[in-house]
Amino acid sequence: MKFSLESKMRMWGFLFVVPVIIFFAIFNTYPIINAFFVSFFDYDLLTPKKFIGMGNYIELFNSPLFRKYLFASWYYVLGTCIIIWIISFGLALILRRKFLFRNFFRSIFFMPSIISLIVVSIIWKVMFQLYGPINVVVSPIVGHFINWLTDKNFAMPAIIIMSVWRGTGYYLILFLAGLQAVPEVYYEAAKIDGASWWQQLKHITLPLMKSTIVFVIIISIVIGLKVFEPMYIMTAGGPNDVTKVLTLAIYQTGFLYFKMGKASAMAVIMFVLIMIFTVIQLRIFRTEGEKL
Amino acid sequence: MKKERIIRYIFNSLRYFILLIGSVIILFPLVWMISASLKPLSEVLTIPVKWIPSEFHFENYITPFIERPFLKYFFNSVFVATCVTIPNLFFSALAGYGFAKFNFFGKNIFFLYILSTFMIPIQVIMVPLFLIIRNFGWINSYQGLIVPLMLNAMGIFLMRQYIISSIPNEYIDAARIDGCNEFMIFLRIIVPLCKPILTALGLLTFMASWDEFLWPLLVATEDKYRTLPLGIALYQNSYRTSYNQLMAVSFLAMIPLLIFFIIAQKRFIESIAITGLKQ
Repeated sequence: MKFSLESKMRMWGFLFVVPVIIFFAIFNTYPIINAFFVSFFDYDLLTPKKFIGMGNYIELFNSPLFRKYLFASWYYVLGTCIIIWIISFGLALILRRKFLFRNFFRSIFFMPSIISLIVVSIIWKVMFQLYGPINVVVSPIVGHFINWLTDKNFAMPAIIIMSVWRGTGYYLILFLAGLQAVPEVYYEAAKIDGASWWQQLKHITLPLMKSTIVFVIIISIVIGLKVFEPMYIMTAGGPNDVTKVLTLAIYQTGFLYFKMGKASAMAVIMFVLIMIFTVIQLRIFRTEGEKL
Repeated sequence: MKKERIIRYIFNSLRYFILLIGSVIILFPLVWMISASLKPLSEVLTIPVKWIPSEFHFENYITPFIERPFLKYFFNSVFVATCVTIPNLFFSALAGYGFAKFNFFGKNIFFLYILSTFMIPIQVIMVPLFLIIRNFGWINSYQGLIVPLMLNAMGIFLMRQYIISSIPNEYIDAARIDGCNEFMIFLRIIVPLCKPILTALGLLTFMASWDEFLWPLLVATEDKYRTLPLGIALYQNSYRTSYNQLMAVSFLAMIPLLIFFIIAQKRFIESIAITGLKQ
């Protein structure tokens, strides 16, 4: 009797998770296996696949263009993330304690995150035009007009400015949640001991927020690596490919030039990059768990 | 004592100063967009910025609807986001419950497997997923837009954590003694108790689906199936489009979420915080 109840329960538990397992097998695992598979072929959707072994990978690693795409991705990711980490952490420190209009400011900063990325990209694309409002503000300072989206030195900074504008609020909320989880008594004790503001930050806030900080760093990098819309809308990868990040390169190689094998090889490389960061995150969290 | 008060006063003023500058930077593009959307084309890009149009061109808000089926795009977006969110909530809760309160063969391996899908976003598998969906004959169809993005590891993970941490086993056992079958327990006991997390997850899923661009770009090539972000992107690509009308459409597109946000801003912010914290 007891045995049958237990095995019945096992069956129910299994039944509850089986739909999602099947889903991920079809729409996640099978595609990634397929990506590995297709990356060894020359395939244009129309003519039959042709096996070329490591051909696509060799071509990619020898291609200065592909290095350029990788560089564009990292330029975007690091440029955006580092600025966002600093600003959003600073703002979180300012917004930590209650004061008049605190929630109002928090909502204002968060607002851009709810606007769709396509719409944000379009607005900023128009604002970055030669006689647009950005140059109205910037040109008196630098002394001339900047061709933001068509100058190879300014196209990526323009997209980074837009991304910082949109992304800061989101990470601000994550940092705030982490900050508010730090018990207030620690700060009270520190104050009694006469600890300065900097000492409190260094010895209480930062160590206790380690897991939030690691989490924010990793997801912002992974989200940054996946970026697509701003480049698609604002520059289409130009000028001279300086804003052609990995995702855009995969899209164009696959769906504009119909080189499915080469696009898949790029996708596999991107997968490896994302995996490295996820593993780092898991590692750090595991060592953290051991310490506790 | 007096010195301390002065320092505090300076700190306070500095704080408001920084926050005000930040708010101006955040609001600048939005105000500029609204202003541009009401201008004649000749006044959109001027130096200095003309904040108040010389004459108001409200027809900027109407012309785009004549040129493109924006209402259809809007309907598609609402429909697709709804059809993604509801199954997402149902299956995430179901699987989260299974992982949280049951024991079965391979449970931990299955859970790790689901977590591992975090590493495989749509950007990585767009080519093979497109080929699969094409084999299904789902290009230019609602199921093609909806099904591949219906579930994600985040939802299942959040549900599991929530059920482990805030639903006591006694509730479930009591229902079992009353003779409820397991699926009824899920529907009648677990789902109502999960309301806060389901709201948060629902908001995030709806928003993510509403924003989705890359996948619809691949799957929907006919106006009949295009969602709002696709429609707007297409509209800005057209050489006939003028900036003032483009800004009008952009503004209209953000209104629904803006209203939603103003009504439920606390929920929104809590949702983000929950998903971040429980990671």
